[in-house]
Amino acid sequence: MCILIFVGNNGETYFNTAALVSGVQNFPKSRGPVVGILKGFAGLGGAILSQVYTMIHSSDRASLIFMVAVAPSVVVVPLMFFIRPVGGHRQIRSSDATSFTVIYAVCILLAAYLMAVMLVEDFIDLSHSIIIAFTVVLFAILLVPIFIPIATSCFTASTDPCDTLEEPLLGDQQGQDPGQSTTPDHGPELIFSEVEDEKPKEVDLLPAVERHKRIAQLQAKLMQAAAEGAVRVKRRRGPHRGEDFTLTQALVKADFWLIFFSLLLGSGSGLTVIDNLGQMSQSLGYDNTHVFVSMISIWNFLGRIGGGYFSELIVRYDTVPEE
Amino acid sequence: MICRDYAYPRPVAIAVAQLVMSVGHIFFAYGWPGAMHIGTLLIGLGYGAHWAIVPATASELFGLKKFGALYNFLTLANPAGSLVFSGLIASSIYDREAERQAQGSLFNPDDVLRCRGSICYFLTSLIMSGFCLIAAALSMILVQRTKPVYTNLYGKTRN
Repeated sequence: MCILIFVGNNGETYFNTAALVSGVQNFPKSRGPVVGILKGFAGLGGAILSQVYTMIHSSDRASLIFMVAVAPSVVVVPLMFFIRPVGGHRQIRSSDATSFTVIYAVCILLAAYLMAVMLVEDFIDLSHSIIIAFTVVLFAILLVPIFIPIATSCFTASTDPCDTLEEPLLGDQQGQDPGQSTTPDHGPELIFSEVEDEKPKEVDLLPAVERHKRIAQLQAKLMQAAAEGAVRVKRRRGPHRGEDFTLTQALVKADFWLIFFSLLLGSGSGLTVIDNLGQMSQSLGYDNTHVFVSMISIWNFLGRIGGGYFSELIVRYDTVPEE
Repeated sequence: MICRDYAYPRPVAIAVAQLVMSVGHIFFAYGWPGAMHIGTLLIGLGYGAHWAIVPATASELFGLKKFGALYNFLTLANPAGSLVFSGLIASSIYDREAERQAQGSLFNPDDVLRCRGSICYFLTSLIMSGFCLIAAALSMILVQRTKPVYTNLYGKTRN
């Protein structure tokens, strides 16, 4: 039993990591929303599955666990062939923001719907057919986001494919030149950590001399900025913030441990509350403890979604072009 | 207006989430009427927000190449924190209060000890609230340290 639980939990972590990494790689400019939505659905999956469970309403636990074990792999294996890194910054579309807004709307609708269903199921004894209807509506809401990529690829199919090849180089130069006027908001700017990833593909096209010249230019700019006090330059070995770290390189960084302990204290206390919620509500004199459990899972979902959204707002707060 | 030419770093959002959670813990501690509802709201929102913000922050600070290993190491902090808070602090305080309440009345010693009233989790919640504040302070330190990174990533040079 212990081994099975161990394997099961590991499997979940693999899914989580794989989904997160490919999501962030495909949308490097909107990491907050991507991570928020992915983690949100990871949390909401439990509530959805429990709804499915009430629908099936079988007394046979073994078949339920079998379904839970097999269904995800059935879903994942065919999807595996569709998901690939698409070189996100080459494909940034102005419609990305609207797409995310639509997904947020669907998420909030879904959360509200699930909460309503939970409360109704708590208070009223429902017939089986109504529960089936609830679940069908639930899946209908779940499937709405699929139409977004279909719609976007239909609308943008007519654009010239050559554009996508030339954009990164253009964006590169604009990003390096602070004297130039700011690029449009949705312009193809490169994120620093991705410059490394892109180097082999783009820079190899240039002769070596040109490449060195560019790097030297960049360094000179950096030193100039450092002299003005805008950027602190620290001379030390290993990657700097924003570049690619390995785990061992990250383990010696203060930033990493700051995140770690901040997460330990913050989310550790949150998890403690969630674990002890039953006893807590009992000690405060409430009888129906499971209402709070389902409520906190919905709030948790909204927190994940909202955290992604608001952190993105904060990051972009001062970056609106000011004329 | 020192911050004007900076993009605000993402850890600001972590700090905000931790402040929200700290308020939520205070609601649990004092057990005011309706505290459970507001408490679950605040804690749920704050706890959830962590999960969205921390991976995004880590990916921005440490790159994507080894993101899987980094992210999962960070995830380790969550059960570790829960082990300390739940396993050591909360349970021992709960048991002590339950024993004290049991001493007052005639009680069957075989019965499971149950604690009643907001006192059971008062101290635990206050401690956790304090730790959330410390966590928010740590996040703000991180904010100070990572401002250059976020200026690079999202900021726009203004002339």
